[in-house]
Amino acid sequence: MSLNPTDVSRIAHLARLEISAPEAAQMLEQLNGFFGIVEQMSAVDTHGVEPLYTPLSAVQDVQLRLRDDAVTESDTREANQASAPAVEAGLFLVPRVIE
Amino acid sequence: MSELLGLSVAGQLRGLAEGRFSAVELAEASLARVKAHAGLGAFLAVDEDRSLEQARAADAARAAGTAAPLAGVPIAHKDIFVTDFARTGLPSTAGSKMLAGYKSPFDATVVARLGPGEPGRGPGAGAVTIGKLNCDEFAMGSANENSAFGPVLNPWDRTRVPGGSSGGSAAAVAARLVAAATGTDTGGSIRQPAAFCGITGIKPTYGVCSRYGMIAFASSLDQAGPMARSAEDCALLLSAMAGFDERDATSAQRSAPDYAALMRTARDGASAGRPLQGLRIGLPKEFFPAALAADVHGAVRGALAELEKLGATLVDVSLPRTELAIPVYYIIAPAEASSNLSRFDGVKFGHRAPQHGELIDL
Repeated sequence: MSLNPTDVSRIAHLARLEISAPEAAQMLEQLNGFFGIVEQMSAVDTHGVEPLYTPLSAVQDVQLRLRDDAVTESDTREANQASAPAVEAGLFLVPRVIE
Repeated sequence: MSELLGLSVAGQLRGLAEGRFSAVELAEASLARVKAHAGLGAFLAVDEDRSLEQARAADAARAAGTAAPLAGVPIAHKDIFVTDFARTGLPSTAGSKMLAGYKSPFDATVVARLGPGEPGRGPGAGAVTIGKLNCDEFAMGSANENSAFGPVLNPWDRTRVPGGSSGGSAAAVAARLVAAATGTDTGGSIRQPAAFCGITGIKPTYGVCSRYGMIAFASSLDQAGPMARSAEDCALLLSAMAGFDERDATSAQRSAPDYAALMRTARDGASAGRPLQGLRIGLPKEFFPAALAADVHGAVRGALAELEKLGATLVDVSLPRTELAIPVYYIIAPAEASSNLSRFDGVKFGHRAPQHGELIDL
């Protein structure tokens, strides 16, 4: 897989980055170099390999942990919202999202 | 330099127990040296009054015979751990201006366990927090040149980098500002700066230390660990940091052993001259490529010869998939970082442009 200059412009736009043509050319080279590294993985046959969820499973039986559906934390809404830029009636305020 | 700061954590604990000096004297010595070496860029924030308050509490606990395991030892935290602003007066920035001004309403589990503990969750180890340490922004970097608050310099040679991302922690310990500090390691961020600064650092097995309150980079790789000048000091810290925490879904369900006591326990069949008798150490041949720098190779071989002299047996092993570690890392780490950092969207915290029209303008 390799990217072309149009891909780089599109990604830069999505990331809201303004990059010059020489920067874009350099970034294209770096990104394609990165894909080169990643493609080493496709040379490996992973057929039948069990997914490793945690390295701890090598030393002990690990199971998905569930807890009782009970309130365990106290109300810290005020403290949690103290650093927010805009709050009203205990809610975070955001600008209109849907036109 | 105050001779108190030349002491290890273990040495400081002995001195405190024998009443040779107080926790307040230790904290004062550390705070003075932090100030004198501000040029290193290791510390991002200190709060002298609160640190001295903690030190006085440690002295009082010791006088009352209720001193916790690390009571009165000055330590500092990588600024990737959040610290309760109301308690400590310290910000939590992750080395980024995106979090400038953020006041955490709680302590990370590791911070609480090393320090005051938490109501309902048991006592802490009683260490005194001297301040918060510089790091690469959101722990992404390996030279500590990517902090929004300026670089950290290597105290052995200020023209060189201390490594990263826990560069502030490594530099602070190497410069004797504190005897020990916390760090975090995703792809080498404790081990590499520890090596660059000539100190000891451990990335524990994933799940040993809680990630609760650790600002996330790549959640399936991030781990907290101790950084100090010796394995013994790291063991003392790790015993306090480790152990199950229900607030981290990947926390290992086992209690923290007393690592320092385990270190002092003689091995079966070991003798005074050969304390490592019976210990087998694997040498993955893939870790010794032809491109390995001669001085690094020499230092590692020197250490191995020492271990052998102490009774250990060296065994050549092979980890044939080692070459895939970097490609796998560069898929997992950036993908998880992208998810984790998407929370810094300006809604719940952050700078908001005064003239925003729609969400993208935030």
